[in-house]
Amino acid sequence: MTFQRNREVRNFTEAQDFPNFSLGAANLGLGNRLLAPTGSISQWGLASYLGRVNYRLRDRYLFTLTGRIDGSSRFGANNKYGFFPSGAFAWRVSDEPFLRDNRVFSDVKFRLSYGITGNDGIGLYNSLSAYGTGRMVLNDQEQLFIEASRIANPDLRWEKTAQFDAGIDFSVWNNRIQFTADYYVKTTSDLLLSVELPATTGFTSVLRNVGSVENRGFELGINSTNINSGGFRWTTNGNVSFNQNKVTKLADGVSQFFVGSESEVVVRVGQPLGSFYGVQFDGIWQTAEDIKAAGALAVPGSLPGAPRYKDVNGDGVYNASSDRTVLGSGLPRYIFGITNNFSYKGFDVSVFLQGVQGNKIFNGTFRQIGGGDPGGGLLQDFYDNAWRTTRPSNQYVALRQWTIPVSDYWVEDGSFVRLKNVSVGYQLPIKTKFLKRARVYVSGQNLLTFTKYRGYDPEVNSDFNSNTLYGFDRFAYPASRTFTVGGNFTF
Amino acid sequence: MKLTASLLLTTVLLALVGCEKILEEKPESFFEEGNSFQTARDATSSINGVYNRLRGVYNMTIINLADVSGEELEVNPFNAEAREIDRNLFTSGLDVFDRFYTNSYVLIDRANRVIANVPKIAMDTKLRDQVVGEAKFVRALAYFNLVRAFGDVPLVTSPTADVVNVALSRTAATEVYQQIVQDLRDAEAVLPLRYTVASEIGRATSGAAKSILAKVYLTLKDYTNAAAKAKEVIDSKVYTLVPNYRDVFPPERKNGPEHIFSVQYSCLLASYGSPMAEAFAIVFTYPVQQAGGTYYPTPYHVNSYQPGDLRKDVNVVTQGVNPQTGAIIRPGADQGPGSNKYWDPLACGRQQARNNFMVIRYADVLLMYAEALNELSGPTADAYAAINSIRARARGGAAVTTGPQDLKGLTKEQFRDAVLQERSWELCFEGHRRWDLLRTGKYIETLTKAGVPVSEKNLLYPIPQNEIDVNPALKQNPGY
Repeated sequence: MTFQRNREVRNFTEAQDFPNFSLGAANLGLGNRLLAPTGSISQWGLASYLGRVNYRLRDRYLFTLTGRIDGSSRFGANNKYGFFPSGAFAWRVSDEPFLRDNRVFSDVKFRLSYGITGNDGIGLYNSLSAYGTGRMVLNDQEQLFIEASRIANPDLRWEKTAQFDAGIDFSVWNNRIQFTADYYVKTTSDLLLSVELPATTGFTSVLRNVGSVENRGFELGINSTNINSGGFRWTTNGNVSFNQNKVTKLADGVSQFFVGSESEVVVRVGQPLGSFYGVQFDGIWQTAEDIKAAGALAVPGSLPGAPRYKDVNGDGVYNASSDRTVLGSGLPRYIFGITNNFSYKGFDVSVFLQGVQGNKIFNGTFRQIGGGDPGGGLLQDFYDNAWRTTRPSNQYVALRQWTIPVSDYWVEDGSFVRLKNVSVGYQLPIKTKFLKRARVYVSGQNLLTFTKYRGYDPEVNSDFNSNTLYGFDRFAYPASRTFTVGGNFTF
Repeated sequence: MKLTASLLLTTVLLALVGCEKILEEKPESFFEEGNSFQTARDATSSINGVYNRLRGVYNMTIINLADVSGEELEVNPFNAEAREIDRNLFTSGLDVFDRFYTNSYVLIDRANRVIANVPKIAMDTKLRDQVVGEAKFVRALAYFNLVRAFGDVPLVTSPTADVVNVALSRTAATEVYQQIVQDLRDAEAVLPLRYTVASEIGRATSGAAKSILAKVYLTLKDYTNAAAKAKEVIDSKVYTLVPNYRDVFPPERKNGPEHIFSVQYSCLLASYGSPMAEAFAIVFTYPVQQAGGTYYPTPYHVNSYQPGDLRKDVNVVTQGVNPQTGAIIRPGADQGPGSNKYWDPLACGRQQARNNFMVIRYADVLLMYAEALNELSGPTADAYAAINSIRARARGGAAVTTGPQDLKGLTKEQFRDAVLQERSWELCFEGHRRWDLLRTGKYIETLTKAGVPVSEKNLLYPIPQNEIDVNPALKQNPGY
């Protein structure tokens, strides 16, 4: 049984425009401009009841059963508690008599597990309505107002993830090569998401348990000692994970809903959670005759150099809303990492390579500074290669104030392979009374990146606290390339 | 052993009771629905919140939807959003529709909360009824704008409590109008004739309810009731035309004898200011000289004035004066003329000035009265008197012989056209034109005459795409 309670009391007072700063801030009343004080109290609690049973049969059949009931203050009055059981079975095959004397396999183990976990990672008081106050004017007289600011959702409950995992670990030749492989199916139900509401409710969004998402995939890992002789040692660690993400169900028979201020993301049954949604860029209108001939397929008022879009629904009319479609997802198809370590006598070298493949990035940065608007900031490339009557192309639109809607004009392949870390060290052959060990090293981070992405950094996720807006680059600060020179000395 | 067991049991029970408590959420630093409506102060504070929401519906939003959309006003191409409305190029994705629709419904929900909760407060019943009446007035205003902009719209008259069944379909416009009329009739019965306490001036009055009701009846072609309501406003003797047209508009004269209901702005704090002054200025001077606005009276409108009409010098200006330096500024090559209707030399920020937004003023009521009487029984003496009082002020007094003279001897059709034209000169850029042209069936004809591309579908605005995306029960208007 565990209980936890957290209470946070905040008070905030601010004053500006002090005659001078020699007294510090002990008396805020000395300031000329006193700002309105604010304060808040917030409190949350968590109550858990846990149980666990381990059973070992003949030292090679291992059973584990756990169960827990968790209560969280963050949910609606009747939905505070959730039950989260799990069970696991492992079979150490290498301890079976038929394998015990084997010379190849040093360790073999099968694993099976199933378990449910809960997520209450939401803000406080979200199941309750809220009213806020503010000030307004009538006839140049300041007045207090009070107004609803959040709609209650008493049904708010635990998000649950049921995970099935089947895996095998084995190592061969006296643990010289170790493999581990897992297949998993992870089903998250009662997904907690902020959902856009129709304005007729009086609110724009509400936190709800909206549906189910399935993740299934493989994870493979290998640790290998490739060479270990004559003082030279080379080891390789590698892992790769393939994941497929799919929305399997949405609450109340809704087949899709939209996220983002411009509905730039759709959550749709059968698609990955958070797919980019918009119109499809289809080149550039080259001549006024083309535009005239296209009729309703062109945006009204188009000029040569204007973007053209696909008539996705094929009704012969381009419509910025009904011709939208899924433009890809920010979730990668697979990710991998490889580390190679070499050592010889006092020298050691480590090289870490990382890769992300099959994801898309919405380049919101280019959307801001590549839209062709000559009045705003514009990237050199977009200026130099813009469509002009003298240099027609289908690459970048002409320099005008186009309103380019959310479209794949801004969606790019985000795959990359990155030399994440290289370090070289040398163990100095010194051993005195005072200095027991001395090692000097030089290392570099983010040294090389191989990608087609044109933004600053493909390793980007601007809306990192949203689980539906994924893969957006909105002027994200790129990872820096770092070089470090250092030494470790033990006295 | 027994003792240990019972001790253990007691501990567990105590822990269970304690944990029930730690799981309880009890807000200590914000209000909930349950404790927001307890006192008379809560009642007035909650209706203040509803008034405050009008700022998101009126000012430039309604100027874009109702004035830019007409033949009187055009915009600089840099103002891309308003430009699409001006040239009828818009689709359902244009953000101004979404802002207008969303802000209107948020306001309606807040008004619904007042209407549902304030009657439960133990307080002075007269004030209580008044607050509910105010909420009904503002709610009616919001629905009146929505139904004129989009046609059929979802009708919500109680606070939303359910977050699951939220897909509402569109209610027939006739039913929405019934609710508007009902709300305004309820409001006119309980609202005071006028407010005398300085901090209450600006709230809705019975005159405001009657004036909007007259406009609703006029829109519904119920001319008998329209004329009756307008006459009640006139006979209340609360309102008069100020002698000089130019004195209707300066911010120092807001909430004056001609102002029946306005959205309230102020420079008490910059955030209380209104954006119209900058939008219509040739030179805007906060904190230093800025470029002018992007809203220009069209040549079509500028050329429509008769010589000697004093309103032209207010409504259309071709040069501005920098109030800090006295320098005369003329519009640049890519600028059009400005308007002094919202001029404020003492603005407190960019897009922040002291001007109220006039929702309805007395001159409008007089012209509605003339319009309704004419539709009922042709240009009667009372109809002439109403429109001619406006024209007399426009030329600088009844005795002046230049400028627009008193009308007489017109046929019913001529009088109808005269009223529509008079409304343009008198009420331009005040958020009326589109609705006036739609009401009289002259929208397409007038815009075509003014050289603006327009088609049948433009008689209604498209339901915002963002709303259809989140509410599949909404069906789009034809053509969008």
